[in-house]
Amino acid sequence: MKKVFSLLLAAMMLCSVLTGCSVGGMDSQEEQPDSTEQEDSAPVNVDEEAAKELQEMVASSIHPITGSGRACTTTVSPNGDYTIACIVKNNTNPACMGWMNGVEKACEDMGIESILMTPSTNDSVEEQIKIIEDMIQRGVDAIAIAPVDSEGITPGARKAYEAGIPVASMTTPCAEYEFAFVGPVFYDTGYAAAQAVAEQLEGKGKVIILEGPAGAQNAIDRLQGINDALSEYPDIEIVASQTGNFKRTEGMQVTENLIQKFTDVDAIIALNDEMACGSVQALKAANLNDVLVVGFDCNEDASNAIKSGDMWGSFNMDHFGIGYAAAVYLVMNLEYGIVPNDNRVIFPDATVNQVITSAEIDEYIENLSWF
Amino acid sequence: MSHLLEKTKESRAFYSFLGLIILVIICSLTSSDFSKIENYITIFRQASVLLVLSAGLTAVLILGGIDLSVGATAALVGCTCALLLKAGVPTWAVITIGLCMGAVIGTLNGFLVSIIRLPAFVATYATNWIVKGLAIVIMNGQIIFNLPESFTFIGTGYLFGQMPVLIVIALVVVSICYVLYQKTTIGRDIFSCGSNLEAARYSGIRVKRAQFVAFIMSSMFAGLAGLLMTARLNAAEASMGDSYGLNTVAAVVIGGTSMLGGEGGIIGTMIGSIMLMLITNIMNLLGISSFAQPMIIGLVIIVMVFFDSISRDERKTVRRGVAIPMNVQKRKDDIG
Repeated sequence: MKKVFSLLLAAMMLCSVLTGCSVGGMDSQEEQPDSTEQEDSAPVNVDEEAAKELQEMVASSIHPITGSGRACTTTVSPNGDYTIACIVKNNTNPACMGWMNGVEKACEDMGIESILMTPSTNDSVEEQIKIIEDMIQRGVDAIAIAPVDSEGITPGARKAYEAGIPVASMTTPCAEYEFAFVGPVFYDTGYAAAQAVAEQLEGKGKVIILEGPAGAQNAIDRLQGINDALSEYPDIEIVASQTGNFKRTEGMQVTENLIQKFTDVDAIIALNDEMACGSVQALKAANLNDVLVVGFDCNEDASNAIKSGDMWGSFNMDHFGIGYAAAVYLVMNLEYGIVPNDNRVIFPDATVNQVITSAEIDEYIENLSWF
Repeated sequence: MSHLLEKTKESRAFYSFLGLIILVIICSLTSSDFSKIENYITIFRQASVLLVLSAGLTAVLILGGIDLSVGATAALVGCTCALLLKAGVPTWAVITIGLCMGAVIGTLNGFLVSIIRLPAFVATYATNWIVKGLAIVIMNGQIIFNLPESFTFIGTGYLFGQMPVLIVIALVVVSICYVLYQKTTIGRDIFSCGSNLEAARYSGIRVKRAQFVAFIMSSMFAGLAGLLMTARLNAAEASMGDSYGLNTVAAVVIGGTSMLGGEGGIIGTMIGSIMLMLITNIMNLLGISSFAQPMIIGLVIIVMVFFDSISRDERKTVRRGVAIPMNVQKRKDDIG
């Protein structure tokens, strides 16, 4: 009896501690948006013009950012003292480093603080949600996130939304509750790269496509773009379209398998650079030297392959610029309350050169690259 | 003749081999590109890495344990060696260091399992995390590429004109493992520990030594596989081993090695590795949709293991008749 009683007491104590904690948390969250509003309304007259100007730019889909990649600069300079948390998918993918470095650089340029976070389990959406909760507790002003999964991140995005913290997603959108999605239109990336390849082939030839993991939305959109672009050239034939799961090893193996059957292939379009680089290794081993290989991302390895002539080109995803743009748009929202059209920031857009080939590679590696 | 037939039927790898032959026949019938000699070489080359990766693991499974850290070990060794090569360390030294690193990780696993007495699953799962974490730390998110030719030779070169070095290395590994598992005392010790640990202990077998040897071999060969992977891709990254994941365990089990221990062999693992690579190869050649591929891999694995398990009953009666007559006697009494 005594034992039961003491257990009950312990449970009650635990309950009170827990509820006490969460109530405290709620209070601090509710204070957050208020305090930013106060900061907003204080220096009215000076900033009103700047705000108006930025508002107009954003309304006509012009970024308040010049250049791309590491050469990005911005005219936005907030008065408020903000903290932006950047949460990425893992710490092995250079793209994730690109996003983090982009956010960090933008925050430096704008004179605010940044917190950079990665889940300890690679690509764990649950852990990303946990990090969002921690960041809310810590009282950050805004979150830039590269969600592992658009749907899976929803509980986290909702919590941030309820706490009044704007969330900008980078490259992969959040399904709901996000302030803005920053990144390219994946369909367009596929379309642009495939069109470049078709032009290079002079509208004639056999093409192999290395797909992404089955069911990944970005990969599906990009593939659709590629197929649509190639279908405009009646003399181009897609002889095979197989998955390499975005992995170098698998890209290599699938290419090895496919060139057994299609010895006369003219071009290989891989849905990311990792697979493209694997593909290059397979082609080299088989002494097929005049196959045009194109990838997406334009990472360091691919850039070197382009420079040495092993790869023809790669679509520059400009992860650094995406991180940079996400931070800039978040600050504009915090400072001036600006919201981009359709909650969508298309970056990099067609105003920058997108498919990097041997002609642009030196300039790219020197000044722009995100790795 | 009948003796020979009996012996073949008894052999663990025989049924897996039969399964492989059937699979090859089906593949040849469905795709004309499949039965080209170049395609076979491609499959063997792809299977070589998986085979080396699971060669030592076979010993651990025979012992009745499991090693989940092989993929991560391969990645860590591959990454470290790529870094060393970039720093200008000569190839022979790098390969030696790589194998030693494997041995160290294996010793850690062996220590956790045999001295601290952690279950192998938990111990190697933890090591997997540690090793993977180390790889991430030393790589710091980067990919290393363009390694010296003297090193990439082991992954992409040819010996005697047409023979890929990779396949030669895999065959050497198979020979070493075959002799070690089937013809030496330590090999027999591993088998005895797997069939009945207590019995092995009471009959004076040095159980701890057997456990250490099995885990060290597993990690050392994983390290070698990491070197091969890196050489083949001409690049290294921290998540390199993820593609192999549980494929290693699958290759061993498809080859007829029991997850309960005491039964199995390297020849079966060789067949298992070839089979797994063959499935992807034929699906690529047939142009099967990426959406259907994982399902098909799963189905083929079930069919293959099922094939192996129905034949196992038959094998058991044969083996018991010879090795443990007491048991059979007792069973007969029970039934009678």
